[in-house]
Amino acid sequence: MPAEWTVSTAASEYVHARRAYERGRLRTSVRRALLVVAPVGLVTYLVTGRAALTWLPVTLAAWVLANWRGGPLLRGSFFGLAGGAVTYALPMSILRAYCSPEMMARGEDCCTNPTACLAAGALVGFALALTLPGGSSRWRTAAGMSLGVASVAILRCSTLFAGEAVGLMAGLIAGVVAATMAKLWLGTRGHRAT
Amino acid sequence: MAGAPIREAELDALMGRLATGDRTAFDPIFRALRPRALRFAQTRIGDGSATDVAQSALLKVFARASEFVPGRPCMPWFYAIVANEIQSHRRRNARLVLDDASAEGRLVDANDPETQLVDRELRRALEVAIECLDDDASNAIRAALGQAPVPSVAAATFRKRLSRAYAKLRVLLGGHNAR
Repeated sequence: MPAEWTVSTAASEYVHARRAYERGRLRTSVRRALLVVAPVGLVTYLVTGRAALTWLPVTLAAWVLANWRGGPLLRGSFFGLAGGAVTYALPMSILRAYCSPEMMARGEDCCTNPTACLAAGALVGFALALTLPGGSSRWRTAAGMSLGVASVAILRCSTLFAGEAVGLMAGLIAGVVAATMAKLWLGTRGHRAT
Repeated sequence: MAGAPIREAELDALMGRLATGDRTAFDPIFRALRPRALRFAQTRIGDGSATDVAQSALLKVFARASEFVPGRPCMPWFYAIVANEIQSHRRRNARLVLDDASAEGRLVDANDPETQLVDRELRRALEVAIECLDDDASNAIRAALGQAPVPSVAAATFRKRLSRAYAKLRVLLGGHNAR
């Protein structure tokens, strides 16, 4: 190695390389996020209407973040996206019993019972928590799921109420905690039995 | 910044992890690729501007790390980017008059251990890349390199097969993204 490759040169190169990596990753993330957000935006437009598209930049930001961080967060986001997509498949009368159709048509917050919206979100969150993998990546995957669901739910919640998204995250956290506690409890019992 | 040398398979796995966003793979990859980039640049353009070219190549490698396809070999992809950078540098400086020191730096001793190491790694990287191709493509390239008999097909068919094989090799080396 030549003399000019001093420690400071190496450190400076390291910093520049790291910045290049993060910048490159961000560029790739924007491209990949658009591949998800474009169809989601189209479906939102067809299902919910133009008013919900005002939240599309938030969805894009969520997917850029998920792609940029990558790993468990991105995997979780795709699970979350699938969970969120379910809400699009269900009729509003079933899923959103407390939604005022007149207000929704005007593009306003239409949830007449925020507690019910919160509970619906919590239920979806709890169900998603059951699919979480074990290990150290559990919380990051859970965060990704929240991000994925919120990125889609917010497009519908703009005409409903943000309570659903909050409820979903609460349900997800509660589900993860419950699953962890159950695993610990079962592990302790198994340990005692042997 | 020191550490045990990383084996090729390990490097492939690390680059795959970095491509999917695992930042813990950055350090070992940087440590493994930096000296390789410098050695390669030194053997091709001499000591004069090797440091700058190696650094610039490394920036490109890491900027494109997210585009690396996990499961593919890392070294051919890496050397393709560095070779591109060296080629660009040569083109940029083609009309410049060399000073004595730079001209001297360009005279690479083929028996120099560093040069031999780089050549060995390049040959190995090319071999790995060719192995990743399908049978027709790899046989065509090997035949063109004189490492295998030319397949008993019409000359025009062979030329077409070789052209397709080079195109596949370019894609494998990340050439479809090359600027």
